[in-house]
Amino acid sequence: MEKNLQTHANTSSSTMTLPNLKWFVTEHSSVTDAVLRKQSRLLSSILLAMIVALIIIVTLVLLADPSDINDPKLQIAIGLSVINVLLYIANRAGYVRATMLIFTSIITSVTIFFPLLESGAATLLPFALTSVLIIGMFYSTRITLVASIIMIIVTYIGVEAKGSGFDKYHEMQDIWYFLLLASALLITFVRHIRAVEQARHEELEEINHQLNLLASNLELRVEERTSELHDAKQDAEKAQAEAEKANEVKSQFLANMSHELRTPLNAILNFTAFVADGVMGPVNEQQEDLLNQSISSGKHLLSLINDVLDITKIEAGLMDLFIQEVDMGEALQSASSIGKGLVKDKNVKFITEIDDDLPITFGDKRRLRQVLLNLISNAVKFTSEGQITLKASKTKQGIRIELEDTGIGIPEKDQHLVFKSFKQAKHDFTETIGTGLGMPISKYFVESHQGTMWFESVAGEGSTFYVELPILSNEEADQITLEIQHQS
Amino acid sequence: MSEQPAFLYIEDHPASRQVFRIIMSSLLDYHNVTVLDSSEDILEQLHTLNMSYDIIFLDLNMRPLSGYDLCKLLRENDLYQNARIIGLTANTTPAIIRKMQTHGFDGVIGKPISHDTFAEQINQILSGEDIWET
Repeated sequence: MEKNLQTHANTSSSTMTLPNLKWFVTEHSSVTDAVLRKQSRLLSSILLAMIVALIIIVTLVLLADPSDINDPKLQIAIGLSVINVLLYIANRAGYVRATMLIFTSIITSVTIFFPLLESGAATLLPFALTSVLIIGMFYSTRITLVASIIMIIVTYIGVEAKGSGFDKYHEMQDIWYFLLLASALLITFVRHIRAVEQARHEELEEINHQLNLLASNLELRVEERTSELHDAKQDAEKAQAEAEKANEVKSQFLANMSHELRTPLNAILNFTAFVADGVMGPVNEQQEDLLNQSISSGKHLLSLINDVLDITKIEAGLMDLFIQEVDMGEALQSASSIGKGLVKDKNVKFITEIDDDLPITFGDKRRLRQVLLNLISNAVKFTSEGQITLKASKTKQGIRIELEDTGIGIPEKDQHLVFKSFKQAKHDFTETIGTGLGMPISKYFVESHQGTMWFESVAGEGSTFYVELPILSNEEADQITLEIQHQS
Repeated sequence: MSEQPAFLYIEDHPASRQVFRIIMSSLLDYHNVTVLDSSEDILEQLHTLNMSYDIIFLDLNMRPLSGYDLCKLLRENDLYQNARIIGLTANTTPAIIRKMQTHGFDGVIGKPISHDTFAEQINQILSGEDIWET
């Protein structure tokens, strides 16, 4: 479309610089419609021709007899040329349709009424035909047809009213004028129709061309987008495959690491225990004490390794649960007996208040036990005197566990760090615990069993940790494992 | 002596074999214990021994045959139809346990072997219980 306008602007500018006859019939630049442009040119041509003709006739008549200026016919001719000049200007200014309408109306009126005013109604028919032809040049066939019928009726009425029929036509030269005029108009008419048709044809071609261009562009765009989408999909698939592969490698590495780290440590622990237990022969008290310290250091190292592996698995989304029936009452009892063992050498009482009717639930037995042991060993670590109370009761939702101690407590400014993993490990609070991973790991396991874990603490007075676990059916617990696996 | 249950342990890690031997003989007083150090040519090794066992302990991480492969292989042999096959591993993740269950193991005991509970665990296994220590 833009190209089209460009060409058009070029032609009009070239006609401006080369003042030839074409310039006089060039349409206004605002007229872009091909048919309208043709009509505008035709209108300009006819108007110019009429203006020139009228000027020549008026000049010739006045030259012959200047008194003819009083002749109404001449006055009408002068008026007509003035109107024609105005119409011409309007047409060149771009008011093509309006000019067309006014021009055809005037021609029609003049050709119908001018002869009627005169005595010679005989010339009515040829003039009527002329106006029909002019209408035909500018309007559709249908309008022309309607105009023709109206003209015939008007002519008939006019001729009848005047009482002078076509047969009374006697001035033979008028026929020749009429035939000349009619042939000229006919030729112009036919040429115009062909030009309009061609313009329509060209316009259609252009539209067709534009449509084809648009269609091929669209096809190209669709192809482009399709291939882009295809590429994007492939990239995404590749990335996913890579991520899966990386995860698999990570998972395998973790499995290997835990095996490689633990196997020698297990041997050390076992051998040391054999010697300490006197299996290899008698040991004295001092030796036994050192060997037992070796064992407890080894066990500590093992638990650190386990914690690091656990948190790595959690953060890599590779943690997995082994679901089985869990008797929380039994787990709590066994945890409390370990707790009692841990405070044996301390000035701390370990009190248990565990309900007998704790329901059976499903979950990962080892992980839940790990949570309890974490809580207890933490409490023991931070409590130098007083008491540690382990409470467990059945609630509407499940099981509520509380572990209250009279230890050092957690200062308010550090409370937000308790459940954070090693990022905060260098902090004073976590330094004393070791890796500081026990709490975040515990919270993860509680939450992966759909439970909640929180604490209350006052520095210098002690802490109470709370764990609430819902009672899960085997199916529900299995669902959890699936969800965890799905996340990874 | 002849009423003692027979044990087989296949393990490629020397220290682990040593620990097992000491526990069985010195702590638990079981003397009918066979320990093999590799899964290579295992069928030939077992054929040479030509014994049936009450409990077969298998390490999982071994080459060329893993504990899983060994378990399947042993299950196909009539001689070990009645044997209880238990995995011994330091790494008892749920995924590993599920895999063991599908490969025909009767249980798993985590390493380090606990001196306090191992005797009881052996009794449980001998009495026909499955043990999935996690």
